Amino acid sequence: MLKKSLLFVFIGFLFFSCKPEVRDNIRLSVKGELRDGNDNPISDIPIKTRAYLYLLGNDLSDEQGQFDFVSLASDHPYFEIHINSPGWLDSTETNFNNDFSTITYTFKESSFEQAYALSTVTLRKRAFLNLKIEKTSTQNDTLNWFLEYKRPMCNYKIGYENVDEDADCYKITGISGITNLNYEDQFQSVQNSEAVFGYQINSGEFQTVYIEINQDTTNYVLEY
Amino acid sequence: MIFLLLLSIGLNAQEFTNSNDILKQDEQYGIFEIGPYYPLAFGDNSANNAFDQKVGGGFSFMANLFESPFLLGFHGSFFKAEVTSQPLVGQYDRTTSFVIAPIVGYHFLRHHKWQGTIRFSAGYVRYNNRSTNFKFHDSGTSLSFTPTFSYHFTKSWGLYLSSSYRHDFLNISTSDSFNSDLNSLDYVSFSLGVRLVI
Repeated sequence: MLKKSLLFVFIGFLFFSCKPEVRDNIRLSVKGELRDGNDNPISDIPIKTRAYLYLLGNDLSDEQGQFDFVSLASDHPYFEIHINSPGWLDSTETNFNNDFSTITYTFKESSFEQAYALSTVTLRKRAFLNLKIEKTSTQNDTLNWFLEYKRPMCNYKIGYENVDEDADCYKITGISGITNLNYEDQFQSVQNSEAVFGYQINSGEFQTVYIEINQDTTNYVLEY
Repeated sequence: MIFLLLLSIGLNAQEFTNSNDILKQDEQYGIFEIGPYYPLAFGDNSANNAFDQKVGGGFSFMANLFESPFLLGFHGSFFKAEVTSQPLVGQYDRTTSFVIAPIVGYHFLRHHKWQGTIRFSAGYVRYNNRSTNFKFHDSGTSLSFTPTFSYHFTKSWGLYLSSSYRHDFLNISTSDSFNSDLNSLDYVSFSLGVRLVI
């Protein structure tokens, strides 16, 4: 019993001692300009700064797509700038714009600055891919499939050793499955990109289909 | 406006006080004042553009120096404020400002009913800032210039009314573009309270 109590005290101590502090007498500034793929300004996009679980600053882009705001600073070893993020575990972003992608900058301690000037940031148009797999065959066929598409988010990592800054930018992600039933789902990607859908019926030859994503919503239906 | 009104009352009162001075030059006395403190921010700075100040409180204690009209003492005040524009100051919700400062002053009006002082103070200011999850502070130097008039019901007890110009120089390290907004704060404050001369 005593050992358990000591363990809880130790875990509690670790939790609270790891909590970062917001720094006294320091403010950071964050500025930049948001544009879409056609170089038009994007207004009312939320920009937030975070460290650990703390929200340190926030602003909305103005009619010219510009933002310039003050953020708090913490002693946490990472500082993040989130542009058009849908939210976090503890909160939902009410100003999130579902038409555009999400961009995150994560700065490691060695790259901390007092003024973060992001210059022009391009947000790609978000697109939806509706995938529908319909079983029309009356036989007990099995479909083995996969889908690869670009995620509508870009995570820049700055100050990391041996990591490219844009290694996680609109990265390709995928999903696969084996079914003998119908399947339907919606995936979020970016416009002017290509998704790859591959499938194999029973032990037949693997087929690959390239799906152009040029619209707000693209539908792809496979019948087997 | 209030300051001008006070000045006018004081000057009118002074016309008939010189021959009726009840606080003798060779007398040692102390003045204690306590009352609410209402700051009004002005100018192009974060105090005016990003905060909604509430009524706080203030006190001061002064004693005349070597039995002269020159005063020496200290002053303290506080007020709370809600953050109204987080993009201008950072992501927190509220602040409490404290000032503790030494005072030098001059007791220029010393009628048995009306009294007036002019004071200058320079001291430490601290803003204790809070959010739901964390707290931190900003600090610096606060200067203020405070004319005060009081009306005495008895030799010891009276009411005072003061108007003060206050400038806070904060030590926030930030980029040049926000330096003036965050570090140079201007207020006019008003206070009405109880005054005790002992």
